[in-house]
Amino acid sequence: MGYVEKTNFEYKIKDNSLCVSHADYQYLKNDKKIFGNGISLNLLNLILNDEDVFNYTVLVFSGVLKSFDIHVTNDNGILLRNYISKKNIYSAFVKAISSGDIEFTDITRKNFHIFQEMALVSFYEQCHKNEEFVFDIEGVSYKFKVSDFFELLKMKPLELVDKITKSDELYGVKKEYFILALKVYFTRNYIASDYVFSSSFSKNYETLKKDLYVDTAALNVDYGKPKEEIEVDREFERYILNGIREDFTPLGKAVYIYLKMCKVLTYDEEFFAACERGKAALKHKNLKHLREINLSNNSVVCYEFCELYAYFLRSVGLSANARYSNEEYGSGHTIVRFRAEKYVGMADPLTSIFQGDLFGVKLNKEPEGLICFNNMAESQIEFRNTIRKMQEYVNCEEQFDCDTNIRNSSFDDLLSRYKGVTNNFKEIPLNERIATFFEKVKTMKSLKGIDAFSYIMMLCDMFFSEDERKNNVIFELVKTNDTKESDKELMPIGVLVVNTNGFSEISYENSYYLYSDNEGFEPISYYTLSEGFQSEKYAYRKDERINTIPGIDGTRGKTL
Amino acid sequence: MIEKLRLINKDIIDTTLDSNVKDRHLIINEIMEDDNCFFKMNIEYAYAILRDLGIPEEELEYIYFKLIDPKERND
Repeated sequence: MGYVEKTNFEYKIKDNSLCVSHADYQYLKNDKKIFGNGISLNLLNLILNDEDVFNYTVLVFSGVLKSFDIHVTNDNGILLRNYISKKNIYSAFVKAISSGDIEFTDITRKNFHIFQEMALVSFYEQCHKNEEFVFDIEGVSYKFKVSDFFELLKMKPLELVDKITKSDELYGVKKEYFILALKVYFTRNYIASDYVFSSSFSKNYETLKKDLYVDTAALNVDYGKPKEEIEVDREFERYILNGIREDFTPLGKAVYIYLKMCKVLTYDEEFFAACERGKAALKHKNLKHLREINLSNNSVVCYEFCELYAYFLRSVGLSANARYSNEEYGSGHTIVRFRAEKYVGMADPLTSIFQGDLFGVKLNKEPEGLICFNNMAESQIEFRNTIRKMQEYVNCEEQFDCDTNIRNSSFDDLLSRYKGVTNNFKEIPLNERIATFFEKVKTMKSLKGIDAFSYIMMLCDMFFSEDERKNNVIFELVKTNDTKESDKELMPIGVLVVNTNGFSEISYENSYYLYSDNEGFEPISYYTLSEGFQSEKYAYRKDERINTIPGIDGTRGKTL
Repeated sequence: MIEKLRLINKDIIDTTLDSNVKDRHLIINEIMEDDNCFFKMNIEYAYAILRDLGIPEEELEYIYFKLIDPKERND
């Protein structure tokens, strides 16, 4: 029956696994000595002493079997399975030996040495040193010698870094190709998870795996073709692509196109007002609608932007495709994954409707929706530098000469320091700031729709303190079915509520205004506004009944 | 527009003999390194800076509006 300190312990090796009863499994598990991953001293002793279990474990350590499997059975079959890797078994042995819990006999010592030899990566190397690894890279088939992989990894770490940084080739192929092949080979054969590495071998492997010095992120990355090719307005396409210069890098082209699109397109306000549902959403779910998008009909939603962006990237020779969260055009959030030479990136123009790039780029903010997936730090820096360079170029084109900087907290510190040294800081009474705010909105000619609302919200942040935005001035977006344009069912409309004394429950003490592109801010009486909500001419956008407009109870009336 | 203000500020820094004035305008210089600085501060700070740069009170609103209009070209 083998070596186990329990009477009536029953087991058998069957179907490449150790089968035990539930009771006996509890015995194996619930030992006072556990050496990580639930491996008990009982199990280790069983492995060392029992011939059948030892032979089974040799098959695991030699790589014939993937893992040490324990099947817990009863009369009806298998209750549960426990898979233990050979590396975990070996680690448990090392801990048990260090703590003095294993007392070797000649036989068990010999058995352990067999495991020890087979646990090391040198064992794998010996077994496979004459093999070749055939691997396709960028459409071409290459043969690599496994021995070359190990030769590189067995170098001293500083020598390895020297070798991979100073030469363009390794073992007769481009170094990026060789390193990618090495990584794929090690991954496919579970070498890192199954074998023990020396510290320098491990360090070298991590150096290559993490692309610390050589960037392999984009190799073999191909986003394929879309399911259906789209049609695009030719003039719009010319407008987007014409500014691309011959000396632009592929990444430069990708960034340029993104910025141009964010400058000229805007989020569809009807779609926004309808909370992305109903009739307002229907037309956007049809791919054919994309050919209607042009410089004058420039309202889009996220999947339209992404399909157009991916199309433009493919037309300049890059690999790109839109990715939908629900795997279907027109449902869920969409982003674009693209490859530009050695860079692998993602574009998300609508991380949020009001703060995302579709609005932020118009104000020359650095785009936050363009992400680089390369691990190599240098590549990340180059990616961001390309964005900055392209922004300067696009801004010159558009005659915007604001540079972009990301806000950081030291700016607030600067302002505090400035306040301490100037005598010219004067508080402006709230009523004067409100008057100036109205004057500024009157002069706002160039922004329309969602862009205008976003800008007004930004002005509210600049003109009023946080407390004032809760108690004295509120700008909220609601939706209305009273649209001037016959082809739109719903539109967003801005509601401004002002009370310099603080919002009152007595509604006529508050002042109400409606904002629209054509009229700007126009006063509206509380009763007219309230009636509008009652008659469903106006409604809150969200389904939640939050009373954000003082005096307007959103619980009555349906949402449109 | 902001470039003009930077030149005015630089002039003040270069010509003043008062160290307090110099310190103040060095801070203003640092603030205005960011072309978007006027979008990031409230109106009271903006007016204070414009006053320190010598903009007359009756022109503050006009200049401020230009500074925070995204479509205005900054000369």
